[in-house]
Amino acid sequence: MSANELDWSSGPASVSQPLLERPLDEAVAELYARLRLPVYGYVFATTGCRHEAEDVTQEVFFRLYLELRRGGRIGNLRSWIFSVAHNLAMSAHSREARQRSAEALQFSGRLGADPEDLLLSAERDRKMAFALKRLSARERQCIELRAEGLRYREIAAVLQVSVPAVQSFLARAIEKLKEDA
Amino acid sequence: MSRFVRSLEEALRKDRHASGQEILSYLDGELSPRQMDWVRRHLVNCWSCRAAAEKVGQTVAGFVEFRLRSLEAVNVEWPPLEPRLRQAPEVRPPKWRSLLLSVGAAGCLALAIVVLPTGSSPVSASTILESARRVERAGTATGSVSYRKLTVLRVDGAHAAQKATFEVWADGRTTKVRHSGAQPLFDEMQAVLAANQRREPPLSAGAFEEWRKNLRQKTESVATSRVAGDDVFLVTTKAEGPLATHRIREDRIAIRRADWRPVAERMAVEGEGRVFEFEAVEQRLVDRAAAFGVEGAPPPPASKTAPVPRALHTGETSPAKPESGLLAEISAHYAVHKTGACLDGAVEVVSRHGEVTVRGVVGTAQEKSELEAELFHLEGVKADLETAGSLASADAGLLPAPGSTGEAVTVQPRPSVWRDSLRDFFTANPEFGPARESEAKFANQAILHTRDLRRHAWALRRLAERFHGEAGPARSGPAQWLLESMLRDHAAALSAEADSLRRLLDPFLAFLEPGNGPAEPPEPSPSSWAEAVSRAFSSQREIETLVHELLGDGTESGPGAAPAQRLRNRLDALRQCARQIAGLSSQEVVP
Repeated sequence: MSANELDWSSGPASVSQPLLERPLDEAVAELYARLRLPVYGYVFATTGCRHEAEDVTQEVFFRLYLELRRGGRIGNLRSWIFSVAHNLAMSAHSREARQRSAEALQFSGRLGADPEDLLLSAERDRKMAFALKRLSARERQCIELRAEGLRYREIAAVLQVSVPAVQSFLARAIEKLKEDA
Repeated sequence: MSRFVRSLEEALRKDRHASGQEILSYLDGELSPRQMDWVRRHLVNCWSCRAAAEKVGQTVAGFVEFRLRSLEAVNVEWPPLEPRLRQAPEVRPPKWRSLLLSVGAAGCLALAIVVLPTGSSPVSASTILESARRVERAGTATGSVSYRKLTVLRVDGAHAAQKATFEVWADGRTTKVRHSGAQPLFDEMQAVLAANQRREPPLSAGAFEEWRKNLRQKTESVATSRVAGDDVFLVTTKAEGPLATHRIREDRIAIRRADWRPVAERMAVEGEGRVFEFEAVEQRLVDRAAAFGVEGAPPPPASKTAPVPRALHTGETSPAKPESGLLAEISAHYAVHKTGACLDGAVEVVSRHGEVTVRGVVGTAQEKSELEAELFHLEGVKADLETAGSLASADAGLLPAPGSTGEAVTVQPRPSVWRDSLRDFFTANPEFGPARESEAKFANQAILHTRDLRRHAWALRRLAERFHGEAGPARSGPAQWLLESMLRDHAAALSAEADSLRRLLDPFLAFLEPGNGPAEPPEPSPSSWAEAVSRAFSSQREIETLVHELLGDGTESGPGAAPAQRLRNRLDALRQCARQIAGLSSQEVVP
């Protein structure tokens, strides 16, 4: 089951009923198994670091567990997860950026192991990968979140920008991808 | 002709191509119905835009395929989550069902406040908050002091709760806050209050109302509930839309129905990646306005009247009655203190046969009317004041403040053994300006600081002489807090003036006697606040003598006496005394 097959629309209650009937830790672990990949993809696109993406992904679900356990109400599970992922990714990204400035060579060395680079053999994918690198951070975040099925207002809430700004970021991102890919 | 042009323009406007943003938003279903309709009809008619839309679709498809392949290629050995979940800290009770469990440093303080909405309220949030604000304003309108003690918890799911205690004194003009407990919590609380343009600590209906009014989008609810056995209104306001870090996402305040006082508040605040919460609970409140029976507080909504807040949760004795002579006398002192008349020593508070009179001379008619206005609200206090602007006798021999009268500074230091040194100092340091002028300015500033030290030290001494020896129980809660407030104000002023004087004199003292000499051994802690005041007074006297000696305005003790080091030591001692006085707790103020 992929993330897009899951009904996210109204929070935990929309997750399949059997999942809700389980103990909370099992339910969250199940969600983690289902959703970690899209969260990982988003964080990786933001930070550019595989290790950070792994750590942040697990942290997101750990916090989801804490929030649900303490009785917190999550209005929109999808927005909540990506909001937490985004904020953690931004913190990790700034840490990573500091390290990058000090260890530029080490960072470029790690690039060879990322999944985008593994697909460089295909010409189309190679073009897409390079086109994606031309996007600004916001543009990339917007299309990643849109690809995960978030509506514009949800993206705006995650990135803490306005809906027209999201429209503009997305349009520019698609325009750039059209030119290069 | 013009109609034709307009119709042509209209036709051209309607026939324009759809922008890339419009096409993408149309494909995503994110346009308004009218825009959706326009783009749909336009795509039917316009091959160019339809081709552009198809290209957008292809690009999106290409990106999605690429992304899926990238994710499928991810080769991560995912660590299991369950072990980490098992290590999560202990769960807190569900929000607002049994909240505010405090974890005190000693682990003995437990606030068990149950806030569970029990019903809906027919009263609007605005009405409730406005009533609570009126009570707050009434409490401070007369310039009296209210005192509150709050316990604040910071709750974050991933970390253990932090606790701090805030004590808040407010008199309508200023609010003083003292805190103890976790410093990071205090700093973060300050950041949150600043980010939300809140000027008051938590549990302020006024601050809540201002924050609420400034929200662009919000959802609100009002419910009735019970807190610590009292009926409360529970006002919940939630901010909608994206919020920056430290902005309050949701605030819930419990306002007691009996007296319209906020007694608990819970703020959900946007943090880095998650929402954390502050819980504030009132531990203690003494409202002097209520103690005096000042009118102005709105009647409670319930049939039973409760003019005095039942907020003394700790079971302490009730505030003093209005007829208390000591309270009236201390209140009169506080009124004199607030107007600054206590510093000149020309106004005294006399208490005879239970009647308190404030008498003496103040500088101007405005000062007189200000003081009389302060005294007007005090029951059993009379005013007998005169004005005499020329009666600045205490300062008659002092130098005017530089620039205060707009006249050139013409004061010359009198001859002394240090005069040459002072002149040498300014000659050697031309960055201070022309030697002669700098010398006079320097002397003026030093003497002005010394004078202010003297005024505050005398004010402290007068309080100590009058109130030292009063039996503790005779001093009611409000009287004690007023006394504390005055002591702290003077102590803070002494400390600040001593700091300023030290900074001013340091270069010159270093020029006189390079290097710090031996510091005096620290004195043992004073046994009472009166003793600390006495020490501060002695230090101030010696400082004054030394400053005048250095500047050629007093008796010379000769160069062998090393006045520079003595002056440093005395200033340090004075600052220490001031800190001791300012740090006294309520219990220590009671002898």
